[in-house]
Amino acid sequence: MAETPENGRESDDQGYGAGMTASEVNAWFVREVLPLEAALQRYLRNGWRNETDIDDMCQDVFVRAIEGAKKEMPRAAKPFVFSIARNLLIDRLRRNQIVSIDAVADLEAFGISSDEPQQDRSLIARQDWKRLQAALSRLPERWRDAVVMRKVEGLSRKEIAQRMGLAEPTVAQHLANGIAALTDFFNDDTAEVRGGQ
Amino acid sequence: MSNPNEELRWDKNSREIQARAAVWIEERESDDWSDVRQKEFDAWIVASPAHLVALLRAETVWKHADRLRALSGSGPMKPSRAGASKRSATFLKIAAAFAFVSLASAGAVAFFQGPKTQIYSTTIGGREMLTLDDGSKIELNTNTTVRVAYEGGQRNVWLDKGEAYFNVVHDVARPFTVTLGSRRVTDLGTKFLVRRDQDHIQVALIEGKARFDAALDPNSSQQTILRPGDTVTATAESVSFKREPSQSLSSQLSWRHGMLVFDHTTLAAVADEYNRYNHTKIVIADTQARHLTISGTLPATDLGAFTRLATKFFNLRVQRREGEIVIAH
Repeated sequence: MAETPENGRESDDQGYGAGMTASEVNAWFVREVLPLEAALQRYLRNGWRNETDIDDMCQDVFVRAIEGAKKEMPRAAKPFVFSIARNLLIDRLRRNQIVSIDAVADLEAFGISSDEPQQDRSLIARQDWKRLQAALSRLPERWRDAVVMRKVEGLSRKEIAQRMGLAEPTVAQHLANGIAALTDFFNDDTAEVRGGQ
Repeated sequence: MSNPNEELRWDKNSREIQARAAVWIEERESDDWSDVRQKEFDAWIVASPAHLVALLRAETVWKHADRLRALSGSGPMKPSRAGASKRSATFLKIAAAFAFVSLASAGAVAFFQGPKTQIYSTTIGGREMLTLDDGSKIELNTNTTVRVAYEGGQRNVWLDKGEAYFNVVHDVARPFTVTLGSRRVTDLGTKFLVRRDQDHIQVALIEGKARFDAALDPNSSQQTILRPGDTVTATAESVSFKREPSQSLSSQLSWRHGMLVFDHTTLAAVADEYNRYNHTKIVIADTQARHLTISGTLPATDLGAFTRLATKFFNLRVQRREGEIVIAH
C-alpha cells in the first residue's frame, strides 16, 4: 500500500501496540481482513434482515477490526473479525429489542474455524481475476469506458475527456463512480449500483 | 470496543465515505494533485478510521484492476484503434426516409438493400455501435455484417457474418428477431451476444430472456427459452446447450472494450482469435507450442503484446513475414 498515508512508527500514545506501525496494520488489514468481506456480508445478512444496514455494519466491523489490531494484533484474522461481527449483531439485536433465537449464527456453523489451511495462491489469483472481469462487466457503460481507458490504455483525465467528448470534471466523476462501484461489485457480487449523480 | 456514539456517527455514511474515497483515489492519479490536496487528504484519513477503511478497500480493488493491463507490455499503450471512441466525432444521419436507423460512427459502412433494409459492416479490426430509433443497440465486432429491417410491427435483424452484442429495448407489440442462417433468436427483454463463424453459430444470453428457434418454420417445436448464462452452439446438423453462471460470460464481451480475455486457452486458439481482428495472421508452426496455454487479457489489435508474450513467457521464436507472424521453437 505504498500510496496510503503512513504515519511511520508511532509512539504508544497513538495506540500502536506491540511494535506495529500504522502501515503494518494497514497491510495486515488489506491482506487478511478485506478478503473476508463476501463471507462477512453473508454472515451479517443471515442475522440481520434489513438489507440497507448491511454495508454500514460491514464497515463498522472493519473499523473495529482495524482499531482492535492497532492495540493488539490478533493471531488469526478470520475468527477475530467474525467474533466482532457476532458481537455487533448481538448489540444491534438487543438495542432493537429483537428477540430471535437463530439470528446470531454459530460461528462454527458458518464454517469459521481458526485453523483453515491457506488456499492455493494461484487459485485465489484466478478467482480474483474472474471477479474483476465480472465486476467490470457490471459497471454502467460510461463508467466502464472511463475505467478501461484509465487502466488499460493509461489515459489521463484530459485524454479520456477528448475521446468521450465530455468535460474533464464529468470524466473525473465517471472514474470516481467507477472506482466505487468496482469496489462494491468486486467484494459483493449481489451489490447494486449506487447513486450515480 | 468502540463506543456507540462513534458507531452512530459512521452509521449513515458508508456510501458517502466510499464515494469520497473513490474521488480521492481518482484525483490522486490526476495532474491536478498538489501539496495542498495531499494535506487535505491526510487530514481526511486521520479524521476517522472509517475513512481509512474505505480508502484501503477501494484502493485494493483499484490496484487489482491494474491486471487488466498486466500483459499488454510496459507503460501506457497507444490507443490501438479509433473504434468506438470516435463515436462522438461523426454522426451520420442516414437518408431521411430511413431516419429510424442512425449510425453514430465513422467506420461502419451502411448502404441500402431493398426499400426497407439496411446493411452495416465492419472491416477486420473494426468495432462499431449502432443505435436504432427504438433505443435498441447493436455493437458490431470485427469483420461483421448485419442487415436491419424495421417494418410495421416487426424488427428483424440478420447476422450474415461475424459477432454482435444486442441490447434490445423490449416491445411486445414489435418483436425483435435476429436470424442466423436457419436459426433465429427472438427477444423477450434481453441483452445477448451472437456470433457466426463458418461452420457454426453461437448465442449467449447475458441478461433477461430470449427464445431460440432451431428452425425458421414457425410451426416447428424446436424452441428453447434462454436464461442468463445459457449458451447455444449450433452447426448445420446439431444444436447444443450449455449453462454457466452468467458472470462467466463476461469475458466473451471483452471485445467491446477492444480486449481479448483468455482463461487457460491454447496458443492455437489464441492465434485463431487474434486472426479475427488483424490482417497480419499469426501462424503457430510448432505442434507443441500450439498446446501451450495462457490466461490473461490482451488488446485485440496489438500483435506486439502477443509476440512479447510468446518470446518472454514461452521462449518461442518469432519470425515476421509478409502478412504473417510465424511462431516456432
